[in-house]
Amino acid sequence: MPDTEILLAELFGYQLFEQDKRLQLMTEDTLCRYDDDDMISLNDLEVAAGGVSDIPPDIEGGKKE
Amino acid sequence: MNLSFSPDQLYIEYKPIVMSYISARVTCNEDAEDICGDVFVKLFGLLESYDEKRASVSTLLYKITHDAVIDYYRCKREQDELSEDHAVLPSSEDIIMDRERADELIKALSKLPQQQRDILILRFYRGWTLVKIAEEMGLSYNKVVSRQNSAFKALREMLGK
Repeated sequence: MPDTEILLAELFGYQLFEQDKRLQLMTEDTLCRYDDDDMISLNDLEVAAGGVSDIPPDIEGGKKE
Repeated sequence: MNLSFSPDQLYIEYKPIVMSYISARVTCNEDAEDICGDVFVKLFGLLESYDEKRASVSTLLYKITHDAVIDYYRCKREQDELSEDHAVLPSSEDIIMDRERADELIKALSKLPQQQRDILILRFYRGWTLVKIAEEMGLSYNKVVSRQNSAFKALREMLGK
């Protein structure tokens, strides 16, 4: 019998390739409650809109001309 | 070969997905990059005879990637008999997920109490440790372990195993 833990790990690996809507909704539901990091940040939206550089300021500041 | 996509498009679209899958299973970044390269070489080799009507390219790519990770561990085990480090080896090839098995497991997951499901998702999808899950959920570590074990038991029962 495949171990339940391996099955679950494989399910989420499979989900990367074959997006299942039900699993996606379950996952989003959990992440909304416990993991704010996964939510789209304002910075992401600004970068997506092309308005703001995604280079962290410390790296940008370290650039030499 | 009469495909609705080019190899370049496939590479751009799927490389991050393939790398995510491999990186979650292979800790050495260099090895993960090598495996990823091998996966696309194999995929491009198969495209000549690939029939889109039989299976989606994502399904084909999933199988190639899964097999590549299994081969990597098999090869590593042959080179190095220290099997302890390789306990994370996906222990059998028959674990490869197909639509039917995924469907069964997703249905079973959806029937779990919300908190049990959350624990499994945070651990297996997000990759959190049980300690972090306990902190974020405001539960004791022992309670998280106990609920995780109850979830495993319930899943095994629902899957008839």
